[in-house]
Amino acid sequence: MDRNRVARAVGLIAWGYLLLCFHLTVGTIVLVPNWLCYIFFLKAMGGLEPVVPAVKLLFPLGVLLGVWEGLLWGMSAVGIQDFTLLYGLQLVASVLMIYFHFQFLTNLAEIAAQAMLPQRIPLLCLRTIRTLFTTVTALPIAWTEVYPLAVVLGIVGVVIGICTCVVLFGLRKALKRGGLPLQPEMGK
Amino acid sequence: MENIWSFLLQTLSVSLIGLLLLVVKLLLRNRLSPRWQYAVWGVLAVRLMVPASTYGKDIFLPLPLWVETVKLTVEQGLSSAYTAFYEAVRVVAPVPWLSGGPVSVTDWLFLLYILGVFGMLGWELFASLRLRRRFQNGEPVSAQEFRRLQRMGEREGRTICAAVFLPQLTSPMVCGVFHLVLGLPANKPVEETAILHAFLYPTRWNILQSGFWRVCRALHWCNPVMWFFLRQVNHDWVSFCDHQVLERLQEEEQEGYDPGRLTGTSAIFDGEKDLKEQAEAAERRSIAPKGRTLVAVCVTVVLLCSSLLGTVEKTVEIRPWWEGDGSRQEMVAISHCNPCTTAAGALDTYAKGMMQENPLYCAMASPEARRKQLEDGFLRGEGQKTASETVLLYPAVSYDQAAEAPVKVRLEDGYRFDTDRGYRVQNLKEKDGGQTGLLILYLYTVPEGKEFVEKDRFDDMELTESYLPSGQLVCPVRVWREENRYVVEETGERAIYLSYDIPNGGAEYCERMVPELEAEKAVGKYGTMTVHRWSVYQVDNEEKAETSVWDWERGSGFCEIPKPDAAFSVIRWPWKVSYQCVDGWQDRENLQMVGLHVMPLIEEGEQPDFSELDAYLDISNLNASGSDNRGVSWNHCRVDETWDGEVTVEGVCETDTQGLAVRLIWNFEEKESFTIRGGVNDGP
Repeated sequence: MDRNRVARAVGLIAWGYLLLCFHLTVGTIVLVPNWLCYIFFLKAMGGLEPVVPAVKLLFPLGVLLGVWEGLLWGMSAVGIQDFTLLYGLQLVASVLMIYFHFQFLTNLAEIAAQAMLPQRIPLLCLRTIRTLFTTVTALPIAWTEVYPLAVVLGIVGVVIGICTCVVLFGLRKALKRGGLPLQPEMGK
Repeated sequence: MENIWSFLLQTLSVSLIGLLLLVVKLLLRNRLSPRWQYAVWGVLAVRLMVPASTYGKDIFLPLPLWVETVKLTVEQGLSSAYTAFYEAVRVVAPVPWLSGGPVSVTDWLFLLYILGVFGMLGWELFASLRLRRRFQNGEPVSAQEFRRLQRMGEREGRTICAAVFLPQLTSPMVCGVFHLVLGLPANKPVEETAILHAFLYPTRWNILQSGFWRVCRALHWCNPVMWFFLRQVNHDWVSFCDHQVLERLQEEEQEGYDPGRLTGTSAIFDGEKDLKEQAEAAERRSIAPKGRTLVAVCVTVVLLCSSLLGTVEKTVEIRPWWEGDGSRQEMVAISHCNPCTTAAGALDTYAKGMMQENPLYCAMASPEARRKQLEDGFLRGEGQKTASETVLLYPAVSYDQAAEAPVKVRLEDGYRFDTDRGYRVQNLKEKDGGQTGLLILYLYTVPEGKEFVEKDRFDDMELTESYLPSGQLVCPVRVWREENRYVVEETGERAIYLSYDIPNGGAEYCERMVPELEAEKAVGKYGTMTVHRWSVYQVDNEEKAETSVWDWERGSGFCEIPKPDAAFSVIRWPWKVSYQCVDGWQDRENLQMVGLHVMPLIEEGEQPDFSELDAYLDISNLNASGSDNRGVSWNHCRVDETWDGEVTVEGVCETDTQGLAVRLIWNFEEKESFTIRGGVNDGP
């Protein structure tokens, strides 16, 4: 199995998570939109599938989430800020996001496990923390109305994002360096 | 559920949750285990048990508004015994009950629905009893076979009391709650896995669930969408039991396990089993990854909380009256869905109703009897007009003092409200289970007050439209809680207090012009002190300027949309102390200055400390005044032939005070002091 191909895919994913953390906004236009990150993820899935076939289950969800982020980005760009009537779709998207990132990071941890790399445990920990964090922020509670809480949540989100990127870039580097061969998974 | 509308709201809310769950399950179909696929229906179960109006929030869509609008359209003209026309539809309990005999068509429909519920429950009971009778009439198996089956059952934790052959069965099933009886198909070989499948169904927990879903089906018997959901529940339950069977079988036995051969096994409902779906479910068991407990729990928690708590923001908000693309029924429905939940909200709503002459806004904050009258008038297209109304008018004698005797004037053109400044509330105090106070609306011009303006103050200037006096419309009000909302009632005659100055670019409305909250007088050796206190309450109605890449910048203004759940964001206590020197002060030849120092006492038992003001007891401050950031204020007056013997000091406290301490100064020396605490005059 081509380790470099897998490493390139992991690198794409790392960049996707990095862009997911930070938003550069001019007025109402987000210059680095979230849907771009999902394009990176979807592109990377092709490189991971031979090693972790279960990742193909995520492809349709990735497409849906990318379309949803694109819709939000478009509405925001034209100045529509009120999304209350889309709340049902927002809820579905939140649920899909929880599952998508959980499974995605699990698949990446499986790659690290196959190559006997130390990034497996950090990825599983980050997966768990990220899942819990996303669950808390998806609850219908007005977190942002309590300013200190909003600041704490914002900081925690950024820290989780940065840690994820650091671990993924580390994994990419380790994969490029060499080591145990990656075997395709058999129907797990 | 006490009427057809509350049933409609409840069943629609539940249907919405069911639809949400179906969408999520479809998207996560091959990704989470069959156990989760069934367990997530618990969200629907919780939603079925919780009334739709419990948390006062909309569940994704403005269903309360839609149902309320339809109710108002249908019930208008009907005199329903079960439906309160002037109140929003509420679901108090998930089960129906009758509060009297039916009168209108909608009452009869509700009665029909309740009969249907009992009919469904009766049918379920009949079906259960018929099944039980069939088992009682079945042919018992041989003793040896029974012992074998008993051992099988005990391995799965089930103790069967009997086993019978039934010709109606096509595969094994277990019947009973406390005494389990295994039914086997007659004249047909039965596989061990099929018997195992039957043993796994009838735990007491499964029987409870089965009973619960049957009751829910009965409660929502006339909603076809609910029938569809509950059928899905059944399929997922069977898939879950298949999954449990597989977990017990050895791997080589799993390859041979075909749920398609299980027909007629016991399920939640006595409907026909969909074999194709069973086979698909069996295939999916091999795809769903394992080890997903955390994400399954997280997803369920998010779905559960969202289905119970609804949206964060309200989806139904009061629209400005000028955005009138909705019907009048819809606007009344919106007002029903936004009851005044605070006293401040009721006052805000009522004030804006007056400012805009909108009877619907006034109705929202009015007691029941008046509300009906106003809403009926609104539905008929009537507005609220104040032209030709007669009102008391108090001319101004100074910038903060009104004449003692009012005059009656007739308004030719109604009130001209200053819609940029809005209103304020003053002098609220608890009384008779509510609060009384003054609702004060700003009037930009009062043409009827033109003749009371002292023209000589304005140098023969002709009083044109631009230079008419402004004023404040003072309405004595009482606000209290009536059932589940706050209401406002005017308790006295309205009065206009004219402003002293002509607005030239912006009117000024003096808070001290209107009657005070309390006044205290104290007589000392050197004169008489009078303390006046007011309290002022304001809701934040400032509309912030908005900017975006596409919009022009908008300036701030006054929000004209009622805020029925508002809170007072600004509360302050203006005060004024006036000191009238004792008669004969004119004869004191050496009297050069008279001054007052006033200190608000914030803490209980606080003692006044004027030492910091001693620095101002200096000839350089002969005719000066000032204040500091503690709220301490002072005023020194020069005694000359023009002085009238009175010294006045004003101030504002941002918190309620325990009292005021006053120090009288003559010729830069303290002569006497007063302390007034909570209406009690401590005296000099």
